[in-house]
Amino acid sequence: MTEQSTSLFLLKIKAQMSKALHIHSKDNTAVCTSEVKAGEEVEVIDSDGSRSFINAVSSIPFCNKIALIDIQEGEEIFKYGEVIGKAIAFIPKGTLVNHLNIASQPRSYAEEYVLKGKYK
Amino acid sequence: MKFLGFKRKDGSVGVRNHVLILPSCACASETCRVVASQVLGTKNVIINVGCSDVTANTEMTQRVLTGFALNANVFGVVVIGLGCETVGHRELAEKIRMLSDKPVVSFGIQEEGGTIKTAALAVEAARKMVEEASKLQKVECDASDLFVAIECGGSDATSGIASNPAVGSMADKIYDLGGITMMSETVEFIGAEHVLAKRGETPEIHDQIIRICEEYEKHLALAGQDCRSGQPTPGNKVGGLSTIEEKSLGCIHKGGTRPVSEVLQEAARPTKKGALIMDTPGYDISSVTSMVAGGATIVVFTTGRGTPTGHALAPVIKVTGNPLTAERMKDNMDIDVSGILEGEETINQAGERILKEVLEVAGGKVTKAEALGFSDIAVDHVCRYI
Repeated sequence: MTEQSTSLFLLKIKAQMSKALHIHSKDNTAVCTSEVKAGEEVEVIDSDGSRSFINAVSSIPFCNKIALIDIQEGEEIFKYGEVIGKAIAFIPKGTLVNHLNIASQPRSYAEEYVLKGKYK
Repeated sequence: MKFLGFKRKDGSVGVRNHVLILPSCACASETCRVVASQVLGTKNVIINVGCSDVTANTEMTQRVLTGFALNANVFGVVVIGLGCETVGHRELAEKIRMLSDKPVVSFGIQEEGGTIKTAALAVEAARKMVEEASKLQKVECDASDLFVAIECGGSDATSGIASNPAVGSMADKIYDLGGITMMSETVEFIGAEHVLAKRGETPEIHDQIIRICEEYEKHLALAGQDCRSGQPTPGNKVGGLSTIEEKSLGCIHKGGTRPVSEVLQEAARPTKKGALIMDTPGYDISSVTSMVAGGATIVVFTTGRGTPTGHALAPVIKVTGNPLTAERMKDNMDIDVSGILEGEETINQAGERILKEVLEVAGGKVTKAEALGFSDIAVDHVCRYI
């Protein structure tokens, strides 16, 4: 292969490989950086650069989340190392995590203050 | 880590050495532009306020105008007023003199008899000031002298996973080096305020972060408006943002993880170093205006869709995590961190690279927005004009 065709070949391989970012070690989700089809093998990249693989059970749209483990209903969903909501249904490993199976946790400002009325 | 900067008499460090042609009201903005166009080394700002306002708006305007004048990137100031505005040119100039020992002169358009006569005097004064400014030599400064504002605008799904975490990593590094970082955009804390508040150095600061979010929502509610309804938007959901927490978390990650030492009123000047928060709108141009008025000398600005915005006084560094934007809008983008999406670069590595760029820009490297002479300004309003 010429140098140009080698790099084109490598680019093609790269484009075919679906990837997901595991942003924080606490996260039970990863963000897919391209559209993933059901049954595809997805390369999961950790924040330290290490890599592992997961089988996508459902299709995952661009920039959407994939469950890295089985998540039970009521369990907290982590992204960025923080809670982004709770599971409102069982979410099997390798499936799409989105607004249909997770929900914002109700909070009120009044409950968030730590000094409860001491600080104005 | 060192860079060559401009040390001011009060100990603050500028990364630029501008002579500011400052209007005391909107009506003097165009005359300031005429003056600045005649003298190389000067910068004018266009403002749309300074008259026909309630007290709270006047206070905001005054904080922004004096804040611009006091910014360490400014050597000296030529104030131009009209003559019938809320705070006249003499009072504004006097206020700047009281708060700094920068050279300040001022002129009034009605007093002098029009723009051309005022401009003749102001051009001469500005030329002399530029001459003085040009004599100031750069000296070696430390990364602890940096005051970096962190902003996002034109965000998309890549912002929360690539550019914001990368800039957050840079923010932590600047904190560790002893510098100042400032994050703003209160509306984009909402939904993640409980997470951001955990960064408060004390319980008081924790509660101040919650309070600015609550107050912002209440303020809009007084005008019958709601910033929380419909969040995330249908478009956000398609883009992979499932809850309001997830959306705001993407935004707040640009501020890093270090303890927050102060929560500032909009356009106010800090009293502490370290990681700071300023209570501003999510409107990027207004937020940058207020942070530069608060003293920020460099702005690091993340974007997904791409935006050209810049500031007259502080260099703005654009960071994108969207590979298409990095390519299609390379006229406006300074740093491409889209490699994070492909696992070609870690967030920490991207953070290192952004820090290096910040130090280079601090030392004089011209950003894309700076080269094009962009000077976007939006002074926030508390209430309608009267």
